[in-house]
Amino acid sequence: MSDTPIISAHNLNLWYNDTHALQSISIAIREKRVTALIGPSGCGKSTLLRCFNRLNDLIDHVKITGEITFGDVNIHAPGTDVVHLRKRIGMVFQKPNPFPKSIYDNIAYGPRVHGVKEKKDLDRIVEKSLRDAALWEEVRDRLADSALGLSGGQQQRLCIARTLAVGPEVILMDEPCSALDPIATAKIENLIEILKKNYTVIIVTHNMQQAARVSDYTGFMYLGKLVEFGETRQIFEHPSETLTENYITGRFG
Amino acid sequence: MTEKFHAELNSLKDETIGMAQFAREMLDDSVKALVAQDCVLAQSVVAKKKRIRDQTINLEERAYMLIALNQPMAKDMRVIACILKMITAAERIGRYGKDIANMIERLKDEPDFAEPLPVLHMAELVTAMIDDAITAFKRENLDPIREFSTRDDTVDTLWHSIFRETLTFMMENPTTITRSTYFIMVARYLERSGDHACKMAENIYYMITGERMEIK
Amino acid sequence: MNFLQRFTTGTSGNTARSSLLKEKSIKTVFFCTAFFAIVVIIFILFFLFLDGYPVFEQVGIANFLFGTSWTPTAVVPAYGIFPLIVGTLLVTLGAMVIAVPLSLGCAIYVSELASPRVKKILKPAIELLAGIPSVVYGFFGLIVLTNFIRISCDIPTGETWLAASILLGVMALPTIISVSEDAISSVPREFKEGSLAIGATRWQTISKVIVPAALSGIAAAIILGIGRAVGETMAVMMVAGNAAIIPNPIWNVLSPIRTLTGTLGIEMGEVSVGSLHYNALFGVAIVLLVITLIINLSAVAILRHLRERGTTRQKRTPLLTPERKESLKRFAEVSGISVLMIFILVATPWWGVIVFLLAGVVWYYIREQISQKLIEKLAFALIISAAVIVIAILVIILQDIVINGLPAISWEFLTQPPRDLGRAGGIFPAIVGTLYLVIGAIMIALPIGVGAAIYLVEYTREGRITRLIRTGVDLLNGTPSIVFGLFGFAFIVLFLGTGVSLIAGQITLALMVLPTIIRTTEESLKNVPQALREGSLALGATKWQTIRMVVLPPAVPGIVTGAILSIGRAAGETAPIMFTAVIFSSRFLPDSVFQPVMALPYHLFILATNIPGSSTNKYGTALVLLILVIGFYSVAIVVRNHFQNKIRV
Repeated sequence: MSDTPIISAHNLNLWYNDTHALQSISIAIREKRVTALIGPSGCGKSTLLRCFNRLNDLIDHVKITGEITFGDVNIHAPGTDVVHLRKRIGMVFQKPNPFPKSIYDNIAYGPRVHGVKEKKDLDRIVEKSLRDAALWEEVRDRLADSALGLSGGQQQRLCIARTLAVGPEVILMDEPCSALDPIATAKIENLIEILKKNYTVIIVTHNMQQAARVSDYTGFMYLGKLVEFGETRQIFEHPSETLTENYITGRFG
Repeated sequence: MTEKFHAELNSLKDETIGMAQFAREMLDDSVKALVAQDCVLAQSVVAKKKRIRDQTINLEERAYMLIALNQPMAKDMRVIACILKMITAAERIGRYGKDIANMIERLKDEPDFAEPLPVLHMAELVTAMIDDAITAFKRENLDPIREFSTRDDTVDTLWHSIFRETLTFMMENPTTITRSTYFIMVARYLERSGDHACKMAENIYYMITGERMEIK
Repeated sequence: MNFLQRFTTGTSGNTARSSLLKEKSIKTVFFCTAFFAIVVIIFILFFLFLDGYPVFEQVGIANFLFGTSWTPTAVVPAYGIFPLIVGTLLVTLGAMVIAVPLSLGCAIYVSELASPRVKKILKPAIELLAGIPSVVYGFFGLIVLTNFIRISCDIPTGETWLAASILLGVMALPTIISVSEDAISSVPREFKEGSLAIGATRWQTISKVIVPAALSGIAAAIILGIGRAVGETMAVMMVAGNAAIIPNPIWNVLSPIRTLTGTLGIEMGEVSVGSLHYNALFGVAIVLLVITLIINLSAVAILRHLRERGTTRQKRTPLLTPERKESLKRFAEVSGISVLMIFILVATPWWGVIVFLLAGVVWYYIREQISQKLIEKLAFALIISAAVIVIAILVIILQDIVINGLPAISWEFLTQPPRDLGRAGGIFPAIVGTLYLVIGAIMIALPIGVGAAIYLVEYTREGRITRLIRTGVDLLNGTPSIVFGLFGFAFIVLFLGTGVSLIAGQITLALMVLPTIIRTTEESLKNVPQALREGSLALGATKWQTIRMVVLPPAVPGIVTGAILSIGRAAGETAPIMFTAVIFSSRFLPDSVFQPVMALPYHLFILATNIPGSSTNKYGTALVLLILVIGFYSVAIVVRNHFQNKIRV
């Protein structure tokens, strides 16, 4: 629980075809803390996030050099069980993407896929996940209804609950509030405050105030490089790099 | 707005109340020390100055943070604006208390004279105004500050009368000039503290109603 | 939470390895189906080419394509298919002249003018009518249309180019109307609102804003219609007269005519294997394939051009500069109109010509004076009459069959085998035969088609190879069914030696519907948003788990709809089974798949063309076939609408 790194990248480089999207990124994510990645559009923050759970594998023509370690294991080592990696590192996406199934089945999907079969076990996991995502009270009477009938904010909390249901250690959030109204956004921020007691959270956001509100550490990225990384307080009050200062004060981006 | 924001806002408000009360104590203690010629009490008031300075810095920082990070609106914004003004006013009141306390050291060798009562009475009026402003702020209620205009007039009248009388006394008793001058300054400080209490009231009025008013 | 702890500490090494093996084996299974499908497609093309090449070699490509005499059974045989190509072109042209204005008018009516209640009935009705089997159309044409032409034009027989064009035009109507209507409805509402807000009339909005915006979809619809007309065999065979000549003069619509497809249908049964005639027929099939390919490619090119024009993205300097384009457009307009006018002038009697000319003169002079409102009224009158004509045509056809067919329907008719060459008795073996054929076909085509589509969409990346495969699939999708019949006959019946049998018919039908199933399954899978796949994989699911539990369930309605539509089509097709599976009269049901069967479409065809005096049973057969096929189509439409509504909620 001390500020030990749980995920680190060393000299990470990534190319989409010929575009050098990530340039020599070295970063250490502290355990059970919230780390925010900020930067203008196209700076590579989402790309970096997707490296941590190897979701970039799904995209064609991607080349990666450098190392990413989770715990003390290199996640790109041949023979790495990517499926198991994604169980330990979960992801919440920008646009809520609930499956066209019932609320219950959405949450139970992850556990079922990983072998949980007993109904009472599933029931317990579903309730706990929904409680942890602050959604239980709103949906407890309609677990069999379609998840697509929920509001945007509720759907996003459902996706968070779905991620929690597989019991990850790290939660990656890719602009989780971009598609939500201010009240739903506030609920998610409350949730992050609570989640960080038990999970490591890495959040990509283009909303600087949000990054300053919720995170303990912040990394500023620009054109594929990690320009500055440090405690949130320091980054937002007196950043060391001029580029960071210019971005934060709105002079570009 | 998140729960975190509201929790922080409430905490800031409470601590502002604490700071204002602290400043009021400083003023009250300093006048008591003056009347009783109590040097020990005076020293303790002077020592509190650092604390009130620290409180100013700390609370202002937190208020700025709230604004920068949360873009508060409507009532929330007015509360924070009021807090900032109250902090300023409270610090000034505290410093007047310190200034009065500083005088006691220099006065102890001067020839004494009677009737510090007007000053005491004035101090009672002013501290009562500060208390009522704090209450209005705490309860977000206008009642305690409705009569402030009248009360401030009373304080001003008292100030003018003390000034004239002391001037007359100085002219008749030249040996008491030093002490009398200090006396006049004390009254002046009290009158200024009353003005600061009125400023607090004006800002509290703005916080509650969203409209401006002036206490002349 | 002891259980959760156990759950979250991860899989042990052994289970990880075994699940990896399972994933790999599933991927291999899908790869095999895709591979098989592709091999089949390539093989069909290869086999056709192999058996067709000798005629190009011996007769020479120029002589084959441009020779004006097709007499393969003469003492000195001639293999010139130019009359056949001309026949196909003329018949298609005539069909489009009839179909395009009517379809456009009807499509505009349905999407813009019809009230919601009327629309709700009309749209599914038109889609259903796309399902009427071609042999039923041909039957109607033979009995009613040709007689009508014979009587009203006072000629010895009504089997003419005119009859073929009218029939093909009517057959193409539902296709062109459905696709055009979809295109017009998809034009964003903002366009319409913007035009009306300026004060344009509805007709101005429709003609100047909506239709141009929907042009790519309408073009696609017309091309689909052309494809349908080019590939039609049965109806043409039954009403065109089938003389392999070029009409003289060329605009004589009352001349008999023969198409490429008709040639295959007629002569395939009587050719001796390995003879030059045999090779020549394959040559014809190859020409048909080439024409299909040209239609497909030009469709893609036209669509891309129209889409680019709409988005004003100029990637390279256009071949046609604006001035050249303008003059080209003007030239095309003028020549098109003059050709059309000559056509109509010579085809209609003299009084029609006078009326037409008069109308044209009057129109030219008063064009400027008439108010927009009046123009709108005229235009709407024309459109409504187009819709009315379309509905009237289809009602006439249906009521003719229903009214004349109902008396034939009886318990005996449905459960007894035929007697007296089909003039009496029932059609039970034909019903059963059709069902056998169709069930067999779908059992072969569905697993292979769905598996291949899953492999193509989920396991491969979009690239040159997948695009090539898709082109191949599209090519076979548009190929006339008679070509499949030819392949089935030559390869399965003769080469593999199964003889005319149920299994040969099932395989041929399966090959015919395979491309459709691959395409519809692909579309359904692609409609599942990528975000769902990412969400599932991000939770640590494997690829197969994602496909099985997240991708397939929403895609199933689309797959099922495609399958049912394929079943319907297979049930109504005659050409693929004519020489591969069917016999005319059989008292008993087949004992094994290696025996031939009866089938409804073929039964109807023979009754109509060869058996005089079987009127009631003809109509009865037509009615039963109609009900069967329309039944399948209705189920598909209901399934699709049901799930579309569910997803919308």
